[in-house]
Amino acid sequence: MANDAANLDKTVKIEYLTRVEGEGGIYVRAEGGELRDVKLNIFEPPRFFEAFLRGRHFQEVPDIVARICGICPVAYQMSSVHALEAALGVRPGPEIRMLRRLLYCGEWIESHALHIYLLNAPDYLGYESAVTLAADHPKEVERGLRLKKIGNDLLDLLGGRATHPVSVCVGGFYKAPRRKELEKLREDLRWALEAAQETVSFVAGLTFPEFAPDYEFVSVAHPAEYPMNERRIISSSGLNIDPAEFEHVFLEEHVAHSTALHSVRADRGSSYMVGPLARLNLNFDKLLPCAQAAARSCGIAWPCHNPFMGIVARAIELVHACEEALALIDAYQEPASSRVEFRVQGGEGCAATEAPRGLLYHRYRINDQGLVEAAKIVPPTSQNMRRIEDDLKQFLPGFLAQPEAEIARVSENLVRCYDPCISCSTHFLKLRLDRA
Amino acid sequence: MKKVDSERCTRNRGGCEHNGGPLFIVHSSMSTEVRTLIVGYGNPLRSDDGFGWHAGRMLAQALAGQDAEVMTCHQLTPELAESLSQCGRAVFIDADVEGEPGAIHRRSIVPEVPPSSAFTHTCNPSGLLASAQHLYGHHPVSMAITVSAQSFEFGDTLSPAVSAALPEVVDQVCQWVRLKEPNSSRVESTSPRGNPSFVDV
Repeated sequence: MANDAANLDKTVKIEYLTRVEGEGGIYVRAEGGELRDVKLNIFEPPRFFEAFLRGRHFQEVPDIVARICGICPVAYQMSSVHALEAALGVRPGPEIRMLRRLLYCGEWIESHALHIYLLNAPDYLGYESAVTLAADHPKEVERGLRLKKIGNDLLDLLGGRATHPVSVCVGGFYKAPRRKELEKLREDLRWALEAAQETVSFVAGLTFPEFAPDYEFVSVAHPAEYPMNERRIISSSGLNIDPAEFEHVFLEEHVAHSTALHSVRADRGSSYMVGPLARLNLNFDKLLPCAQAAARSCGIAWPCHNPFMGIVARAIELVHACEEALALIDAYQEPASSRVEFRVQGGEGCAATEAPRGLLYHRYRINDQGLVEAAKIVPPTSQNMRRIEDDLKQFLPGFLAQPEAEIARVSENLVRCYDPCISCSTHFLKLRLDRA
Repeated sequence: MKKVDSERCTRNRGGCEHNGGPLFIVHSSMSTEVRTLIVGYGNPLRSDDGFGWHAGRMLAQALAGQDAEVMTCHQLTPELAESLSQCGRAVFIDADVEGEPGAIHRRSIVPEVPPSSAFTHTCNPSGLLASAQHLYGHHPVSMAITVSAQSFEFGDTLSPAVSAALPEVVDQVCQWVRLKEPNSSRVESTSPRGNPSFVDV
């Protein structure tokens, strides 16, 4: 992995990142004690979703884009249906809106629980994996697995199944749950709320490296609720735009060492962060009471700029998701129809929703027959790619005197803080062929 | 088979059908009385990768009245550790990328802590058993039955060679479930023409 001929010249290669979703590696080169190069190598094969969506009927889109990801399929379905409904001029009613938030709560619970306990916590406790962590901390890992299962149970009920849900459609759902079916989940969700609060205490007690870059945080924002499916896009630098302006403000770029695109601010070329830390920092006042109480009592001053404390932000959002799921179930009234009727017409629409890992943007253009003519999908992980590299460039100079194994360890830890979903980020690749 | 909680796919446009039948998603709400858990896993939209699903559906019928529960899923996930800890025996059924198409392979599974990259969003059977032991203090006597695949292309039907192996796999699992003292340390391989060849490991 390393050469060590001179202590000040080091090359660290992590061929295969562990405890992340998908395939990627890290390359770090130092010369004379100075950092010369850092690359987050993404070699997961590109998957061309935006290309093969063309010509498909719009009602196939939610099922197809769900396949972009096995752990955040709901996010892709939510961004797609909201974008397509914008194109078609469809406005589902309040019951559908609430069911969609409830579905998203399920995904946040299972995804955040998985990341906290199985992917990220082992880093701070000195374990190789969740299995070795479980040998010494069985209660904590068991809590995490049970939380994940409860999130999946909610997805099962509302979505038809946890992996690639099948009940989401443009206009609503193919089937809405009965109230008594949702009520059966109350007991588990009450346990989950307490377990989520214990999770905040657990992660807030971990020891984190000192690191606080000057980020531009970006997220969806809603005037009255913690963001999930609506409405505008804001940033800590004062941005406040409609999703229709997204592609004017943010630019996706190819880089040679990555099959995932990198996103930057179009005007400045600068990186930005999306995800739980960004969401929490920008929307703290919209957290529900238990979540806000957990955030205030965890010992962290918000807004927080330390990416390693993203695990605490996730735990706080876990509390929020459990709390909101219970509130939505209490308020649920079975809709007269699980989906609205509408006339198919050509149009173009876009939307941004908040996947567990951050803002997910979709845009579609459909014709009068309802066939997709163009699609654009910008996942949160590809938006964070440049920011991750910038973090590594800022963080690693303090570790260059350390052995290569330690440099590798802290590099992987930093990448894992973002909970990257590499398969999502490689959904598309533009091909430019230069013929000599 | 003990009555289990099961839910049909909630798609409501003519029913959610897979190869003409309903798709059973069995929730693991096992009581301690249930002795054997059968997990058929894989992607039913990738041809032979759906072997575990097809086998699971046949076993759910074949084992009716027996002390067993059948579960089908796209992939093995960490939360299955709890279900495994609650049973005395477990069978994992999947397609295999190697071997002559239709060949059946059977081997015992023991707990083994996986590499750190191998217990995250998905797991392998031995890692799940290790988690079951570490977290819940018990792991079942387990075996895996796999069938060498011919095709992993997009499609919702099995290739002829793999489809022909279904009855034999169902029969082997049923026999193992009915054993009083399960012990599957021998690896057995059955050729597509049904002439078994046994290899001890």
